[in-house]
Amino acid sequence: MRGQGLLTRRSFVAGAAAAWFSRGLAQTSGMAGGATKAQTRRPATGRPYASFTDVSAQAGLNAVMVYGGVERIKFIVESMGGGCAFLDYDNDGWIDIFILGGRRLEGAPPGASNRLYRNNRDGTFTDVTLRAGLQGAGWACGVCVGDYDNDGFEDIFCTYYGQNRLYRNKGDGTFTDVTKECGLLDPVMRFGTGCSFFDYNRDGHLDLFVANYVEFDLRHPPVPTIANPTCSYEGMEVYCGPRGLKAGRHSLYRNNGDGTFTDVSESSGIAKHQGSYGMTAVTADFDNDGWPDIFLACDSTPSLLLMNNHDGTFREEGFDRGVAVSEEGVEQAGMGVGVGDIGLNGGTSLLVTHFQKDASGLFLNHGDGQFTDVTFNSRLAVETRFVGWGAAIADFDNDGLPDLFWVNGNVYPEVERKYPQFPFKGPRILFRNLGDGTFEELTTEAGPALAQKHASRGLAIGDFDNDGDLDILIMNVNEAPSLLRNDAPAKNHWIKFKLTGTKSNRSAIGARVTVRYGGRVQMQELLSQASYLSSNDPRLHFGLGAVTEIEADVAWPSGRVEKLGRLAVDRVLTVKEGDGPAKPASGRN
Amino acid sequence: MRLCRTFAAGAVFVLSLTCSAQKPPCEAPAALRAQARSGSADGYGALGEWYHARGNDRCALLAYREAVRAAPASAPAHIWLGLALLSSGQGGEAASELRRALALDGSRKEAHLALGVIEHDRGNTAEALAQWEVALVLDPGSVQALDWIAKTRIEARQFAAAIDLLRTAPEAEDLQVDRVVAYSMASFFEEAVNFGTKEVALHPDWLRLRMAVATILVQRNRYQEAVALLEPAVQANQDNYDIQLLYLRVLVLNGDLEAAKPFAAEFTKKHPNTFDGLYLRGLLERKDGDLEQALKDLSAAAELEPAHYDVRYNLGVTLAKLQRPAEAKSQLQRAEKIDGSSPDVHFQLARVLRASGEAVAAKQQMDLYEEKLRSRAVHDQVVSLAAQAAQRLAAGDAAAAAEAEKEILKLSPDDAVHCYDLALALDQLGDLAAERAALERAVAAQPDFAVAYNQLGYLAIRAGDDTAAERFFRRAIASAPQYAEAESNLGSLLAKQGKDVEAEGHFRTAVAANPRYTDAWINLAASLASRSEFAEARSAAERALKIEPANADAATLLAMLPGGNPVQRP
Repeated sequence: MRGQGLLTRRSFVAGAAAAWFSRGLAQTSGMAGGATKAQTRRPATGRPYASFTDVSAQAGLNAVMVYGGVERIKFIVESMGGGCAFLDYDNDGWIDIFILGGRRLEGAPPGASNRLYRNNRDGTFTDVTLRAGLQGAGWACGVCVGDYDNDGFEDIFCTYYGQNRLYRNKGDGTFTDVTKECGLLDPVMRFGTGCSFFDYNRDGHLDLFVANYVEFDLRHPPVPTIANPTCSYEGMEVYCGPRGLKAGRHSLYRNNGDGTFTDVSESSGIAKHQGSYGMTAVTADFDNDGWPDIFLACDSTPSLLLMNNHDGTFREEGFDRGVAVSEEGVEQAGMGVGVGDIGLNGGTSLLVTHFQKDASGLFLNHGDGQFTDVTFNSRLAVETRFVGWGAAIADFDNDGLPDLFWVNGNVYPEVERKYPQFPFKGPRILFRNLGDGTFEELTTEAGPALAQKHASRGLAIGDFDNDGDLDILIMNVNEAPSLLRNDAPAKNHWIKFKLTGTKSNRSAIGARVTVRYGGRVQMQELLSQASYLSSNDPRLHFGLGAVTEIEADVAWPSGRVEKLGRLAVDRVLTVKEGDGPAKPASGRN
Repeated sequence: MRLCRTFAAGAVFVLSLTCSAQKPPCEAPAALRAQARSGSADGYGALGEWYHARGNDRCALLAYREAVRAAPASAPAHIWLGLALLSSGQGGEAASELRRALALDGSRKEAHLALGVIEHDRGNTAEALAQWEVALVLDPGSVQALDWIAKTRIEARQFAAAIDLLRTAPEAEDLQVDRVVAYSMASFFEEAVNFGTKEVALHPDWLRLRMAVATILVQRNRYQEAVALLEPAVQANQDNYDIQLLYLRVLVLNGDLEAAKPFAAEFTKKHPNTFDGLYLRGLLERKDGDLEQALKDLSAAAELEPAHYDVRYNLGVTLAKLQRPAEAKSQLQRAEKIDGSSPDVHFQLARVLRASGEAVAAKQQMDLYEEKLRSRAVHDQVVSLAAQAAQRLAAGDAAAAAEAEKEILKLSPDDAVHCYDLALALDQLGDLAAERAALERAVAAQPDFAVAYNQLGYLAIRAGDDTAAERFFRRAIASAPQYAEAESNLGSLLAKQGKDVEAEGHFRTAVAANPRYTDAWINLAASLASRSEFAEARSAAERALKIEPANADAATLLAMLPGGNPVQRP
């Protein structure tokens, strides 16, 4: 029709729909809300490395660690998985294994339990869970180890969705649940995750920090629906949270020195830092002022760095010190924390694992508690494919340079069926330290065990066979655990320190060993928890490369500093506070 | 202004607006010139169309004026002139011409459509809708009428009415895009995606619809589906700028550097020196650590769009990484000025200010950043609780829904919508006093909250307080003109008071605002019947039954009206 063209050409620009469409198309503005871009990879150096072999079956670690649904995870409690620990519960000089398990929504199937394995000193382990009195199936999450009563035997604290438990080591191979008599019973349902023994007031008794994840009640859970953006992923209905759920309140318990604890969460200022979904808790002296601080990796919310005020209180400085969020200002899914002196500068640096499409974060401590996010500059951002959990900063090839390791596992088993690019099970990730501030990812150079795919959570490092290198224990969801035996290059040397406090807490948690070797200086601190809700071998291990003699000193939590002088290598050096080094306990096997 | 007609020496016909040589002459082929010379409206019409087709609207307008002068009683001539005037931005005169056309011939759909456009642009939404409704009666399949009515409904946030209208609309891309948008804006995201995806499968070449669905998918963080939806169209439409750009944006948002980088390179090769290409390539370069190149591209993008937040922000971050804090600060402050709502810019500014030794200013920015993060966390909790409340209400557990809403209000005490949602749950529980308190809290928090006023009016009627009810309904209408339910409620109240004429006006407004509002049609029918306007009353009742064939009230009313045939109840 004549003139009709005038009308059809007219655009309806005033319409809300037009505005909606424009907004939709302009969405790259929210890059910060999107993912970290995977960094371009460089060609591999191809240099040899240590080799890992999964020896879990032959070592006797055969019990499946039940945890939540296999085909689908309906509620957030099922997604957590448990931590694990390398500990020497019987003081025989051989580290044993404790692994946390869960249950299913319908109940606890036969065999569901935490597991304690005694080291048989021949590469195998014996399941002593029942005999040790640790049989039980709940939604266990985190473990931290420490001798809270200074009786000479390591005790175990476990966090749960539900009531946390303190298991006192009776010294005869058995444990007893002392939660109630220690004053650690919670009057309300809580979702415990991270925990760490540490002596925050330096009175020689181990206090206890406990993180809580979210407020969640399985009796009245939020039912997943696609309409709720906090219950969907890539258009699929998944369990709800943590976003959208109320954050848990974190707790600090002061050790009264008489076998009991007092909840000082309020008076210490810990309780007021609510709003972050706490996961792994690391207590260490981040600013080198001689007092232990708390780093709490937090999921989907800013991580917390609670600095010790030396008067029983803490102040939160995560943002000011550069560890709360990414360098883009983005909240990340902080799960696990590797801890180590990555800068060889005497500072406690952090490796924090995150969700898929986001790189694990490497936060370099400048030695004064100020951190720089060096994820990109260190070339870690080449790896963003998986959901990371347990993590470690450790020198696996004993070349004197701490490397990076973490395990993976998705939280949505159902998503993989539609999107294979988001697999539920993932490989283990290892980055070799190139010594120039950068790292390279090793995919095939470190043995076939790294490529095996599992849905993993907890991770502990330790030398289970006392052969002078660091092995790896991994908690796999609804599978038996993995035990990766490390065969490090024989030409490289090493030294371990086994510390015993006297004036300080007997576990020597918070003690720091500084080693000078081949022109390098490296500091390590004895921690109660790291990785993902896990506890490492308490013996501090230093790879030394070609160096055959070192100098070392120990700074005890009590404030005493002991110079150990020149030391021979390839041995475990036992050091008792005030007594100096004992005779070599063992050498290379 | 004088219209001159001149004849050039050659074979072209020339119209000149002012007879002066300053304006270019209106030249046209001899055949058209001859046709126009005959003095018929059609001849001038053809000439006008010829000019219009060549973008010469000035000459087209002159030709149409001649057409009207030649045939003042020709409805088409007035329409041609009206449309030409509208096109040249002379809405007032255009409206007059179009009304003249309709006075001559009321069945001219295009005149109603155009009049609706003029009224819409003047802000007279009701009149615009009325014109387009007439056009729709004249041509029930009019895509334009449906499109504009739907867009106007969406604009007025009457999403349900828009969806209702489009449910039976003919297959046309504009209409399906409208429907997808209406679903999305009504928060029916699944319906939007499902319907849109189905339509895209039926019409693979409907790119705007495909892009609309992809946009919703991205908004819902469903990047994989968005990529999959766009990929075939991107392959098949290599020269379509919009779809190539959207695809690149989705790749960038998805964090897929491996796919995004080569695609961005290809895109910028095809579209060099475009803002989008430079910006996105610069962004990718920044993310990949190629800071110098990022700086070049982002700076070039900023030249093209100086007031673009993202470019300023990314320039600031790039400069900060390049250890150029003063320039970084400047760029980030510009970004903040453009849009300070994002937490990111405050975070980056805090870092730059701290690095520059401006501790106090840095602290202020960090406080802003943390406050925005806290707000976002609260928002997430509110969204989650709201979804749970809706689930529980739908499952008939109003008590649990009310508890969830109360939790929301603890987090966000001034949230008027959730005060209203709490009132809804309390209504189901029969706790009218608490419901009223919740509604009063809602309108205190949001003084123009029409729906809450309407419900307060309803409660006042139930309490026997007609005065208060009328006040609430009028407040609802004042807050949201075209609010059909409040109009109908007020009409009912006035009818009850015997104010039939005034009541009828409100019923008419109600049905104009929402032609699928059955109760309003029934009320209108009853009101008309009470004034013995039986024919129109019958028509209104029939409209109600057309919408809801099983509506007993409409059927009963229709049966009672004189002159009507008894209606068979289905």
